[in-house]
Amino acid sequence: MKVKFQLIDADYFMFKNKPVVRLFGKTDKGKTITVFYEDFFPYFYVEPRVDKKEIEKFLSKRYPSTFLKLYEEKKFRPIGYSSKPTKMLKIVLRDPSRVPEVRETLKKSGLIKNMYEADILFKYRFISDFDLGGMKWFYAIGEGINHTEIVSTDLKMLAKDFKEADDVHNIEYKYLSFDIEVVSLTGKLPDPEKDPIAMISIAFYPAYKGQDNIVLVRKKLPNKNGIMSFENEKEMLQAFIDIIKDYDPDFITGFNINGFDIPYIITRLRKNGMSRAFGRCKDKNATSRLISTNRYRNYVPGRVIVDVYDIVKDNAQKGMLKLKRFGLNDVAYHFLGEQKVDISHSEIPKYWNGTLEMNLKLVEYARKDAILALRILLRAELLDKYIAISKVCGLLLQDVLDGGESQRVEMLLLREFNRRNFIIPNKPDREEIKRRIDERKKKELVGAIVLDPDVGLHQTSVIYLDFKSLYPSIMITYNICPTAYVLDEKPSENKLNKSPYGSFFVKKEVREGVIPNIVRKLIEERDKVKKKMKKEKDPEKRKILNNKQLALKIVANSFYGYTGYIRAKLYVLDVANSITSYGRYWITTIRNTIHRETPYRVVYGDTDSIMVKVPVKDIKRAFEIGKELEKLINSIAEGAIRIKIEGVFKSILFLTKKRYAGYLFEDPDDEGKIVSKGIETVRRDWCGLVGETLQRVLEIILIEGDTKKAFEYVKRIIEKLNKNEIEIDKLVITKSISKPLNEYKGIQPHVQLVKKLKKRDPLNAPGVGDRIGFVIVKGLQKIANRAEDPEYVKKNNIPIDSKYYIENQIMPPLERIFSAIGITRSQFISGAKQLAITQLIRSNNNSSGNGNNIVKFIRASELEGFICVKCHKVYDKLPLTGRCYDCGGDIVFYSRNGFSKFVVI
Amino acid sequence: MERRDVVLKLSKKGYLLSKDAVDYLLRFSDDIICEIIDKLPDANGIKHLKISDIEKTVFRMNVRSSLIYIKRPIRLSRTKIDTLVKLANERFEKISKILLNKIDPESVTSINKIKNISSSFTIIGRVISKNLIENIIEIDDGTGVTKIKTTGLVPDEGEIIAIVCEKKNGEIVAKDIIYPDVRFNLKNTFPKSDMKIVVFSGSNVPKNIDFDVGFTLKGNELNDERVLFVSKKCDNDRRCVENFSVIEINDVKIQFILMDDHIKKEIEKYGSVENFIKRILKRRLILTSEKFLIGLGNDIYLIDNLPNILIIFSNKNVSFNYKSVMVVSLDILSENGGCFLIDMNEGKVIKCSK
Repeated sequence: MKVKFQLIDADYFMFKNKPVVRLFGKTDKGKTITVFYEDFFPYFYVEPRVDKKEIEKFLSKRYPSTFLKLYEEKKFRPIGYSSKPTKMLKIVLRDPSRVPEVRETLKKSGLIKNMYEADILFKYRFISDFDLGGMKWFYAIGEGINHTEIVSTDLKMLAKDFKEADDVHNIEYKYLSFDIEVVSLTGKLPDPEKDPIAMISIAFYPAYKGQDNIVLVRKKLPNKNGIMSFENEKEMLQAFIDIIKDYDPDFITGFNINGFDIPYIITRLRKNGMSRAFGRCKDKNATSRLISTNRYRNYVPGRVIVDVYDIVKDNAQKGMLKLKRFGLNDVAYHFLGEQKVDISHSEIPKYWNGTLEMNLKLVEYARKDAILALRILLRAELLDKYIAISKVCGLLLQDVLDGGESQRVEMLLLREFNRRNFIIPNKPDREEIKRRIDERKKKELVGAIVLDPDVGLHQTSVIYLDFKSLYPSIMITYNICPTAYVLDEKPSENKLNKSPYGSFFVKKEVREGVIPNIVRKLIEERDKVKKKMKKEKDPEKRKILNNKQLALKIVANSFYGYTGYIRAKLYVLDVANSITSYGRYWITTIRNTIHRETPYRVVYGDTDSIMVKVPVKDIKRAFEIGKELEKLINSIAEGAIRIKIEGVFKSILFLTKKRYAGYLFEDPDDEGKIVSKGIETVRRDWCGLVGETLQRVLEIILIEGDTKKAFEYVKRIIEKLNKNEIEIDKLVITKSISKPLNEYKGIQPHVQLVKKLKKRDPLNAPGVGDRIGFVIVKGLQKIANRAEDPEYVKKNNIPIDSKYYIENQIMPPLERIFSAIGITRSQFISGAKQLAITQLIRSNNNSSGNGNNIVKFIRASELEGFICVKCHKVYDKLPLTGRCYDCGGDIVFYSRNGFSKFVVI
Repeated sequence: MERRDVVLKLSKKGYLLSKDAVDYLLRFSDDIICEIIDKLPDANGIKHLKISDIEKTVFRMNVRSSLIYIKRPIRLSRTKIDTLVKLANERFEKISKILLNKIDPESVTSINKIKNISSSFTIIGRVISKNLIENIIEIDDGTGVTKIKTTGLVPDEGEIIAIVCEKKNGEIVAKDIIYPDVRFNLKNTFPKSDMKIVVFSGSNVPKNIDFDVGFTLKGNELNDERVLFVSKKCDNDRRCVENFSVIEINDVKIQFILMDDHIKKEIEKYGSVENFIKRILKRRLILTSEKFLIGLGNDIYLIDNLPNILIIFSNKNVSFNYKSVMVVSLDILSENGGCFLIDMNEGKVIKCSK
């Protein structure tokens, strides 16, 4: 029998003292399947210090029922080049759960020098050895079985072998989104040990028995519109479990279900003495484990938990989403333009205990929460990228969603290392991590190069050139890999590459490193997929291909970070340093080449990109020059290192390293857009007005090229602030509560506000992990104590502290921009009074400011420059004649408080 | 320390002071003054304290070594605008003289005369502003002000430079910019000396190193004011010099720079101690703003008198030659510090372990 299925999850169980692997999947006809495999046992490797018989004897005596057998094998060590493999012992055990114990005993026994692959999860050992991988298609070859009730899938099969199927499509998955509402008996935060669940709202895609959503309620309500009433919580929970089993979703989703709903439901099931086995097997419960404050690792066997909140946060952290706040309301509005039903948290008990009408409104509130989460997931296609990453790296989808980048890399490494007869070290223990930290303190991980920018405004074209996947290309070109790293065995000089950092690696011709090999294949595969994508006409297939190429890029680019990650199994500081040293070398080489071979200037460079200023304003011509530069650089670049033109800035403003804004054209026929880096247009702890003003100022400067107009615009904003004419919503500052309030040192505005809100409305007050918005109002107390809830301010008409917003929010980023432009005063303003930009702004703001007084003396600390007493022209540099260049008037000292011929210290 | 405090402390010991003696004492840092006062014997009655009495005490404090005190420059509490104008002009003239040695004097003209010139010409002037939008600098030479278009690196405001110009399409365009800079190392410009100078951090004199004169900075705090001058050949030499100033020992001119907050910012601006030193030697100015001249009687930031050796107490151990100037930078902030030996005979700087 041969069945084609897509692998969704995997685990194992013990049967007659033997592990049996279980693979959960779905066939292309939409049937769920469990594929069993027997006769696969856990194993690891050791480098013996003594004769193998001694080790065999030791294990047989200590673990007679667990230890199975011991083989001699020759394997290549993972770190340090060696031309010949080393003798290792492969130790095979019977029970995967005993591996940690055997491992630790052996470590302490003194019988071994090193140990390898003794911490690979059994399911991944199996997946790697059989060349399987998450979300990929395989043929299971074996026989169907009917006798087992242990799983609840449509099909069951005992496999003898597997074969990869050439298929990339994704089946139509089943999604179940849910949300719980709890009414606390004590009026405080819900406690799963005490407070029963009031409602469970569920949304389905595709529909369940003709219904898109259902709400289970622990109260007698009319059974219509998908409402199902129950006498008590236990009955309601049972119904929920029955629905899950009946509907049999592949994905269980919701908003912050990992942080709240799943752990809560699992606890309530336990409290009610009910089974938590609502996965696809009956012998294993769904589990929820607290891993840190408010963070749980949840698992439902055979299904995947997809938390929309986690995905949105992950994308925002990686800069792929620009969101300031992450509540369901904000996220739903961002993706769908929709919002929750308008009931605040603190009102839930009131609605629950209120009239029938109020109960029904609460039902709608709960229903919408489940629906919104599902809609966001589907409409924004948030899961597609993760499915693609799962296929590329081989990890199961749940681990792609829950785990870090290092896990993805290590999965690929495990497969590739084993394929080439290499083995992988265990995770570093405490001692090893300490050694690495000490080494890092001494040697440092020197990062990428960032060239000093040519600070100021550039109004002729600046070409933006980017290296294609620089670090992966470096790894490939110079064969940088722990397996190619010269440590003990040193081949002859002509077989080695020496990195600018000073480390040696064997050349590709001697042996291609495992990591460069993986990365090269990923990049080549990506190029193939992109070409295929261009020819593909079917939009669904195009989408799959696009996600695949994105996933390939993400995984390929994870390798450099992995080499420098101190907890990585294959961490070697010299490897990470070598990669960055080549990066620095290439940036400086390219810069020097451009300066030597062309009349153009490099005005900035950062890690893997370089910006070249050319004296043309025509974008098309600039692109042509860019192509020429591409050719020139690629003619000297080595191996896989390639540069390409990313775009042309028609104008660009550099403030400092990693801070610039420009008017970018990605294509000669493009419309152009403002891009900024490091400039505070979306900094979360600045109010919306800052971002808006900055954006507009940048548009005026970069697109319209009118710096004077930009300045007039800022003046108008400040006038409006002073007159309280700016909407409160634009003045809201957002910060997160990252720890319990009592752990905060010092007084902070958002913390003070939370304390106020807790007194006003304890159930609705934000908690740890939440983001809170506030405004600063007028008053005599410290700023931190003048933080107030925006809604409260609107309701009570409290005046805003405009001075705070001018001096602390608007001015700092604007001053940086204007000073970087190097706008000379005479250029900026025409007329008799020529004072500094900030003087003008401040003097507009400060009605008591007086720049015209003659005073007895000025303090040196207040000295701002020199001024002509006649025409009031201000000078930074004292004219050599001591007289005004324009009118010949006397020059004196100048400060905010007045003019004088004398300055005192 | 205030004058009043010094007088009070010494009067408790029975001393009456002359104004000169007080002035002499005030050249030292506060803790040295306290040390001197402590070590002065009681007057046994009432006694006039003379400078020579103070000097003897200083000798006794340092039998085998002498002290050179680097103090912050003494500033007048009040400055008139005219003084600043005078200093700015003096600076301009001194650097102009250096520049005149580097350019064709016949091509030099002043700004008030360039209207009628059609061919190439040279102006010596001070940069008073720069426009990064259009790469234009404004130059003042005391006769007028003009704008000049530049390409490449734009000089900093305050720098005094010579610019070779030409007129193009109604604009004045710079063809070349010349800095005062330092002359190349010619053997006969280096003083003949077989002196060995050691520069080290900490107070322990390096053992097993043969040297004649040594310098270190007592303490490792920024803004520390003392340099311990350990000498075998010039015993009992004691001097008090101001930061940035030059001392001469056996014809060798040595300039000290202490890394105070201003210098630290400048080093950060230029990215490294080496870049900072090269920059200031190129422009022959340590700081470019005339606000720093407030309260001074002379321009201490001007490097019109080139040192043979420039020693900077900073945050990095490095040595290099910039044309005819040997530069030694000593890290006084980290625990390890550093040690360099300057061999005047060989013209070499050797890094050594203490």
